Amino acid sequence: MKILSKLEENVLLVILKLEDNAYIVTIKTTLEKYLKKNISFGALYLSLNRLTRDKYLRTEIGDPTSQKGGRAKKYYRITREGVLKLKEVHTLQRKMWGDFDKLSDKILEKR
Amino acid sequence: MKKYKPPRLGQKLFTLTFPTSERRYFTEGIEEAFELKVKEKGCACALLWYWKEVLFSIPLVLFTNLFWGITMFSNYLKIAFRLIKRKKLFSFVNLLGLTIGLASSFLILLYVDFELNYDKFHKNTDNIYRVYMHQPGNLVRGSSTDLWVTTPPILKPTWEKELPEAEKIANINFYDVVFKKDELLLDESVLFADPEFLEIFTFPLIYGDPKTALNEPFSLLLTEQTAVKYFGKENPIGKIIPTSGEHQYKVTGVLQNIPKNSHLQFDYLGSFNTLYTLFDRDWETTNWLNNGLDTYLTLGPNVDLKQFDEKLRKYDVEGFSGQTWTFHVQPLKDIHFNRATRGQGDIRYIYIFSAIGLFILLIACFNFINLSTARSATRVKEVGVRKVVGAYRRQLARQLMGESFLFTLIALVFSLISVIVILPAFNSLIGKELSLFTFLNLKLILGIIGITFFVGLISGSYPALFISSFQPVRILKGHFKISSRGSRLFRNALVVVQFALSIIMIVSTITLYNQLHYIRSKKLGYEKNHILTFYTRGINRLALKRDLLEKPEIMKVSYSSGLPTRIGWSNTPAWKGKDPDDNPFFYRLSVDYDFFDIYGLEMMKGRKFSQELGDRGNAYILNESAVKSLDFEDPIGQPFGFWKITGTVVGVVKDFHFESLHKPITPLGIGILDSRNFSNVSVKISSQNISSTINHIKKTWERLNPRYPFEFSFIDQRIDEMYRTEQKMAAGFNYFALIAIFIACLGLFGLASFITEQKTKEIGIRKILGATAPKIISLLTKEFILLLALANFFAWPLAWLGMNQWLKSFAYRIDLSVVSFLLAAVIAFFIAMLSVSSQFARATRTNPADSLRYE
Repeated sequence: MKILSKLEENVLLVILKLEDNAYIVTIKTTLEKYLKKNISFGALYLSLNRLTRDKYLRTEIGDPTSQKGGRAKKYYRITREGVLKLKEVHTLQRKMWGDFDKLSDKILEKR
Repeated sequence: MKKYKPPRLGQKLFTLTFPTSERRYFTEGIEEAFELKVKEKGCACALLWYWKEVLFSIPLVLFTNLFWGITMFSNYLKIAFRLIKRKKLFSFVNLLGLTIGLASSFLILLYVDFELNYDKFHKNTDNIYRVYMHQPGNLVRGSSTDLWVTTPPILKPTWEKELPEAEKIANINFYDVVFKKDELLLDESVLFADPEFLEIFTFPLIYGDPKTALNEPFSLLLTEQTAVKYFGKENPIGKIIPTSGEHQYKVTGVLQNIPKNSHLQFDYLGSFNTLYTLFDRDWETTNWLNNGLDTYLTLGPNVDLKQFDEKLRKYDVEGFSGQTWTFHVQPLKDIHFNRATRGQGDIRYIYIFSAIGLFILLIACFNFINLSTARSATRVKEVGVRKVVGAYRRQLARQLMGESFLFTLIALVFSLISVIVILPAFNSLIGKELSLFTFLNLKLILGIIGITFFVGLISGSYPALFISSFQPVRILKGHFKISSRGSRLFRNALVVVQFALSIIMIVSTITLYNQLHYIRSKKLGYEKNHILTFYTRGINRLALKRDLLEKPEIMKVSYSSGLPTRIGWSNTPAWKGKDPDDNPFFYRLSVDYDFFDIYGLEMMKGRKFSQELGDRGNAYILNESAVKSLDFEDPIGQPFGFWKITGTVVGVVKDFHFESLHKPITPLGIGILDSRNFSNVSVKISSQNISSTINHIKKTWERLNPRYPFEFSFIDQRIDEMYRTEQKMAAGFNYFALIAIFIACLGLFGLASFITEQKTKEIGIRKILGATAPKIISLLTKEFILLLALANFFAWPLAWLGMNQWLKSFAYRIDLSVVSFLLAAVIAFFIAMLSVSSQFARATRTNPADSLRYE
């Protein structure tokens, strides 16, 4: 089983949210909006590349747009495998976090 | 709204970060994001943001890519080192060849760099010029050029006034000064120069002020080494150096030692004013023919040389012989190689040595190619497996290329070490002072890197293309035959080229030696053994001669103005029926009665000088060339003299070679007893007890002339000195030819061992069927002999052309003989056979049972 890094996980989630409009700039700005920190293009490239290689993403060259000098953009779409992976991560996380409220309250109340 | 652009440099860096396939999307992405940022936060903020993006992206992406690159690379490296370890002989031969090849080409590079950078260390090298005169009809002594590097004193003040293009002008003049150091007298050559000298040239000062150092008369600057000789390590400024006369010099500065690649070489630099004071001649005459100085000047950066030269036509003068003599300037950087103005360098040797360097490099590269293609048989499996597992051809080629670079790099390390070790010996061989460190400049480093890269590329290219083209299916099925027709042909072609180059170099070496031997053994027309010469330096001549002759081993003593090796004096002769406009130059020699006997000069006609007949300044002897050039029918009794007729010709001496054999014999007139000019002593000694005789002469000298050290030389040494360049060249050539053929043989040796390995089975079967050892050897060597024959076929015409060209520079030369060509072929053949036969002999000795059993 492949382990996703936190950034990869977030990238997948963002692409899922963006639906049809996931390309490099939207991915970056959305990510930064959620995470409240700068994600460099380089880091993004590496994650996207790895995710594409592992078939969690597929790419699609979009139609040339009129506003951007007529150049085509590269869109990223999440694949079935990608969604399954996210699901898997999500269940795992839920299990891990399940008794978090109870346990954390216990420690915090002691103070 | 104005559209802001992201910074150019940043864009470049950013694009370079990403692999080609992704680049476009990311650059467009960052531009779009940039525009958003500009709208949101303004330009400055966006720019900052942009740079942050770029700087954060680069290391991330590069590292990840590099990581995988390095993983693969380390695998290649591992394989390469395993190969080196496993195939020790191959690797050794390869490395040795490459190392020697690189080392010798580095040496040649050092030499060429040294020569080409003559006088280039001055800050404004490109703007410095030297003035010379074209004096038609006035040949420089002992040459065929009528260009004279000499100027009159009036030139400087005139040009300074009238030629604004000439920014700074400096006169210089070498003059001998006898300095006194303690009780010792040192006769030294001092360069006297105008104050501008230190502004025009870049000779940095350790002590002293370059602006004022040359102002006062009797100011003297010393080079560092000279300063140490006089005053040790302390600052010598203000110290006094006395001379043998009444004057004394004050040290006003210390120069860094003069770089060896400067055409101006001096240990003492005096102020030009000194000369004005020393000789209260009228220096600024109106006479434009009062020559004797050297003049250097700087021209402004935008001066057109042609236009400037035309301006100089204003100063044309009428020379002694009625022709127009003209002034010209030549760039400083041309001085060293310009033979017409007595440059010391010879551009031909630069070409020749560069060619040799290239030859040796090529031979070394071909070795590598040959050996690695031959060796590829053992690597086909590796290639096959790599391909099956998914290696692209490009990756394989890169791997093989990398191996050749690895070899070259290892060889580079070894060769640099060996260059450092060999350099002193090389220096004494060629008579230069090269050093890897003092001349280590950017260009040289680039040169070394370039050569290494070139070697790696050339030697890696063919194996990379060839080996990576194997088809995995055929390899792994075992049907693969490595020695395909094409590759064998290619290998053979390389061997032919290697040997052709080697043979060319052997022929050249033989011819060089023959010519030099011819020169040294050629009858020069005078006696050259057991004759010792030294300068008179104002000694009491009569006393010296008397005291010397007391010793029975000293046979004759003679005084003369020059020596047969160096006449060094020429004048216009005068004779009856001379056309006043025709002013040829004759060499002129003044001798005493013993001169002809001591040098064994033979007479053609007439008689030698004779004391009994009272020859005293009124008798002349001409050489054959002089008689020929004067068109005398019967020379004896003809009136003759220098400048004006002062006597008659009493004899004609047979032509003897008083110049190097590069030049034909020129006219010479010998006069008698002009004792003012007797500056040379020749002493004929017996061949017995030479050292005690020399000791006697030394003691006599020290008694009569105690203030000068006794310095002498034998006449045959002086003759050898005339051919120093050729000898150095021959010695250098000799070694490089050896190296070339050695590397070629290394390759042959490797190839032979490979062939025997391949033919183990064939040899085994043949032996079983009854073949004898000689039969097998002849079978194996047949191919090599054919290759050698081919190499000769190509090499001979080329060698003939080249050597013919070189021989043309001698007036007296040998004919190119077939023998030297045949000799070269035989040498190449024997060495080649020697290197392959050991391998073949081993092959024939092995028991066929062993070689056939392994299946």
